Amino acid sequence: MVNRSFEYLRPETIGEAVEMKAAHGTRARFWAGGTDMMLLWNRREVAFDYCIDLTYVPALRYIECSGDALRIGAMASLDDLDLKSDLNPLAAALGHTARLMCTKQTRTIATVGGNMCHASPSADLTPPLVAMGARCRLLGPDGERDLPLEDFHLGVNETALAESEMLTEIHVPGVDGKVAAHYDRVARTVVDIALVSSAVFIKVNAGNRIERAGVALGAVAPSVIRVTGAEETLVGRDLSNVNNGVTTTAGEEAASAARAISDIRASKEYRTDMVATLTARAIRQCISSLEGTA
Amino acid sequence: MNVLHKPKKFKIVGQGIPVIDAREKVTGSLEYGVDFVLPRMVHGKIKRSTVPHARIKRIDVTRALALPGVLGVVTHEDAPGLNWMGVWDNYRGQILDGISRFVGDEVAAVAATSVEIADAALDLIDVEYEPLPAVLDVEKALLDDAPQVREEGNVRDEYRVVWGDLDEGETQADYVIDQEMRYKAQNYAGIGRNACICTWDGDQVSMWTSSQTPSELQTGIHQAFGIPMSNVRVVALPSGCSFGLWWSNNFMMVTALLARKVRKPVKIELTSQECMAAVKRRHIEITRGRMGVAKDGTLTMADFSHLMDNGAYGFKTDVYFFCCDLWGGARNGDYRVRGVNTNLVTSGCMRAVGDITMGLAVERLADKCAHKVNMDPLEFRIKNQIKSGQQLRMQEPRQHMKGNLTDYIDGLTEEQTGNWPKMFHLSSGSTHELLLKGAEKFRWHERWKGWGVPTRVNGSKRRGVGVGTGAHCCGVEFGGNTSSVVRLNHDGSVNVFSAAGRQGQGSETTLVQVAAEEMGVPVEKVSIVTGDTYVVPWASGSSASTTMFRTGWATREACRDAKTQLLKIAAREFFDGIDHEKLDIEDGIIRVADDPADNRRIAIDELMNVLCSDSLSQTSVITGRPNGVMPPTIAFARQWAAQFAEVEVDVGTGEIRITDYLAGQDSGTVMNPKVLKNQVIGGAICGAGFVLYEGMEFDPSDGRVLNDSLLDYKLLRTGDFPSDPEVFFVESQDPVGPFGARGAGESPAAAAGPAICQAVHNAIGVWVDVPMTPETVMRAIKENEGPKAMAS
Amino acid sequence: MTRLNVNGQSFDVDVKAHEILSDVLRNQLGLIGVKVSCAEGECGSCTILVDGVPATACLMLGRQGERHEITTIEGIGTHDELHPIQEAFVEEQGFQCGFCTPGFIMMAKAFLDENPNPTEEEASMAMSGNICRCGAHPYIVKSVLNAAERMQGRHESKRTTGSTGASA
Repeated sequence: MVNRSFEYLRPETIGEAVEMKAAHGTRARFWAGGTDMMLLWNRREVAFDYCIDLTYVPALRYIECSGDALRIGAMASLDDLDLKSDLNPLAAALGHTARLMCTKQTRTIATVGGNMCHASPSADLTPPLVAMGARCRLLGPDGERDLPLEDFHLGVNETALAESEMLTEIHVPGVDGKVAAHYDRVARTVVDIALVSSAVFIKVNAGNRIERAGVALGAVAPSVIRVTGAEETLVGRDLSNVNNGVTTTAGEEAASAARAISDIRASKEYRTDMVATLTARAIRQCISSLEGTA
Repeated sequence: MNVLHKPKKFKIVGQGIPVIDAREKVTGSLEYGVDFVLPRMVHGKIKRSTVPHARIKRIDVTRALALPGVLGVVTHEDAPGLNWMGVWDNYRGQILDGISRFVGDEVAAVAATSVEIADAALDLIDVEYEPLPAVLDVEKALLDDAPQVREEGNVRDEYRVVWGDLDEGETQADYVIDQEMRYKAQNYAGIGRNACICTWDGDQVSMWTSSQTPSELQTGIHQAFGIPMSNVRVVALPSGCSFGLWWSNNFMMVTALLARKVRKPVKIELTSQECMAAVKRRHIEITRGRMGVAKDGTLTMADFSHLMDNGAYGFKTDVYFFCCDLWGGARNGDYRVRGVNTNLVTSGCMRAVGDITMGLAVERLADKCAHKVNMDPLEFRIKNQIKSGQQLRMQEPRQHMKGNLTDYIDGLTEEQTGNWPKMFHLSSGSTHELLLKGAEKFRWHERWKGWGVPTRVNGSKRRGVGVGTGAHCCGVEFGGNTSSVVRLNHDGSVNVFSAAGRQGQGSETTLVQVAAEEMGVPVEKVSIVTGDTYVVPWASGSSASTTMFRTGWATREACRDAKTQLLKIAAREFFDGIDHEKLDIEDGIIRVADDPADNRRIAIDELMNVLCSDSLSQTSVITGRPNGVMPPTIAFARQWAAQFAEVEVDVGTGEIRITDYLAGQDSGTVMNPKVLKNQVIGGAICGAGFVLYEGMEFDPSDGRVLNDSLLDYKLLRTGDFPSDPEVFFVESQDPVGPFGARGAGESPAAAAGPAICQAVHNAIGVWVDVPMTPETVMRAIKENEGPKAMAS
Repeated sequence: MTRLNVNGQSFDVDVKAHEILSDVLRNQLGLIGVKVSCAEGECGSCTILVDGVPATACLMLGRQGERHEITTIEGIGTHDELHPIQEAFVEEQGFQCGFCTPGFIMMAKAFLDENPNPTEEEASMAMSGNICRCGAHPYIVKSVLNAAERMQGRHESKRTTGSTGASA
């Protein structure tokens, strides 16, 4: 117990990292940014014998647009996300979200992949990514699989990762065309965990008709909630038809989908009320961005 | 015999010189408690209770002692009957007495060769508790059949200030309004943590730790361990932000116990979680009040009852609230305060104790009265607040060993009291000029649109303005509890020895400015020791806004004493026996004052060298100390603050943003404007945080602190406060304080809450409970039906 | 042995796998300007530069300092030769107790390197990753703006004289 420590492993390629994990199984943990892991370790809420530090694997750190997809390497930092805001409207929305997260000097350490794998119900990045229809790529000794991000998150701090799998990439397909996304949340001070949040994604066709919409809520359930009711309210409408009545209805759909709980940060009632307000606001924000580009 | 302050042109007073440790601070080289190390030092860790109230039935340390690297363990068996009392009742009681009184209380401690080993050893100490009933609610703790937390009982004597006749006041009132306000405990949340390093050699105890109150700590060690004060050396290191957290704390006593056990230097360094959940906090408080107002805006009565929980080891019998003086225009008044113990982490005086809480309730109730008679809050304050020269409401502030304050004063000789200001009357300053000046600077009359009327509406965003006032003491107590010694060296340089804290308030600098001004030497020629009890005279320390006023007074008096000695010799040796009072010192040169024609000059160092030379050998140095008795501060001096805020409230989410801020301060003569403006804005931000977000959450089942980290205890950041607030000063000079200065650090914290709360009310038309978190704002809007057209 | 490049010098230090970078810098290299308060990445007191990028040293493993250039407050200026940012903090008194100050200054360094001519609003948001409990907030922001002027050679030292009517 005195020597409560671990062995530090430093792969430099994805292959090495996966091999190390396969070799040590549950006795090993990946150390991405480590900003959550460090706290868990210090509070003795996690134990492992091997720390596989991924910070020296350059192949995992990228943010790029290729084809019709926005691709984010698991080791891209939250600060990278901010710095790549000008890639496209979705990157801008993610950059905006990243700037709300923790502090600048921690965003340079914290990673997108780490944030996803920690699977916190109040994670800021999850709602916009889910709303955008993001998918994640998992790599294990037996190969790669790809699944929707909403299926990756199973519950509080629970993911679909198999024992020796590693999250390598988050990608958002179909980002070409006229798209907008916005994430809104309620927080206390300028640096805070979201008390409640909502993200909206809208894609319109050439005629400014909404052809795809995504609405996802944070901090109102063990993991992110996708509000299909609200999405259906939006899809098929002309942008000019999205009036206050429509945003209010979508907000109400969001509130009825929420399964909030009360904790020291906020009550169930407040969270439920707020997802309606935030969803309506995020929709209006997307509409005005799209109108601005129209 | 002290001489009243005569205004004159100052050379050093009023200069915004950089604080003397500025370079150390910006280069990171200043050593705080956590940075301090000694050779051969070992490390201690504290085993903390997991239950709110229990007797330790059995404690087995065998396994811990067997761990390689463990040097010793202390438990209650090593500490029979060790008791100490903090000077201001913030923390007192037994050290490791075998009873746990809150989750996090100390039950044992380990010393080991490394922090990690000590930490690991904690898990190897087996404790068997015999649970005792716990009381976690401040009101339940008052009941006769409540579990008793302390031997002395939970409930402290009621402290009361009464004037006039409440019934009379009620008859005179056209309206009587009542209100209850409940406050969560504010966490000190001191950035910087703390550590204590102690050595115990023979019968000599030395301790290095960050502390605002070095002398109090020296007394605490003397009391607990029965060691003569002369053998106790406390070196108070600078602390991180303290606000009253780091006075004397039990963990320092535990460090001493470990040092005695292992006879090696021991360092206990607290984690942030320990600092936030196991040391001290502000009290949970409840204020119930009634105020009566006549249609013409005269307050006819003020009737307040205040309750505060002391937690496990707090022992406040009173809270030095000064809102009763601030609103002293009320014709009849009755203010009652009670303190009671609970099985929660200890509470103690935090910045603006009483005035940030009870003061907020009084201000809010006064605002409601003003609203009722449709009077501008600024006019209402001018009409009902105390003015300079008027009688103070607080008459008998504290029982003393010699009886009450009147008895004490009556017992003094004419020579001692001399030309004291009129007792129980406000010597100088008030909110009046602050409000007038502030209104002009803030364009109050233009921006205030009426009660509950926003100044601007933009979608869901509503702006409102508010004004708030605050007062506090300038040091408490009244007899000889501060002193300073100055030493004039051969070369004309000056050492000042004053027990004071260095928690960022800049006292080391302002005391140097006092000394330099009085001695007539440049600041570079003065250096100060504030923390080492081997050399500094006893003083109650930097608490209760004492340092500038009382220790500053003592420092000036000590300089005056040294200067008189010096000038007498100079008069005799170099100025043909002229009356020494005709001499003065400027820039280190002694000359005849007010006589430009007389060109005789002698530098201090020249004179000192002659004195020390073989031919005269009269002395080696000149030492000065205060000769007179400082008048009882509390009977005449107060500090005043008036602040103006504009806020923007999002009525869709309840989020509040402060958009404009103006802070006016009357602390008498400004010793250093940079230091003071920082204190004023720092106070405002402390008060703003308290009413916006800050509040400790306790587990209802066992009282453990749930938000013991900054992740969920939210402090304002630069982006949460306007970047360009204005600060202005009104300098109503004090007749006693050094060069007319008074205390400063606490009234600004008291004024902020009322200003911000009123601004929120004016923005959205409803009063919001504090802390005004987004959720609380939305609840208030809902409950009161809020602005008619709630935007989303 | 772990090789750390700190403030332009190389050090070979014995770092345990779980040791935190801030502890290594403080305890093994004696760099007490790396202040640690919350140890959770919230307060920013331990901010250092890693290849010029600001990072909370309390959230990094000591081994993760390898193959990088680390800069601490000790690396940017000394008592006798202050960095312009340090001079600005002295002049504006952008601190009270001073515990959080090295972290603020390191953050300001990274920020001004990226944005040499910031607005007040930008400076205020950029400094929000650090916490000053004393409440020197506006003076910290002023320090950053003052430093920006100094670093561009546009600064004339202000002297505060007298106190009457002094305003912030």
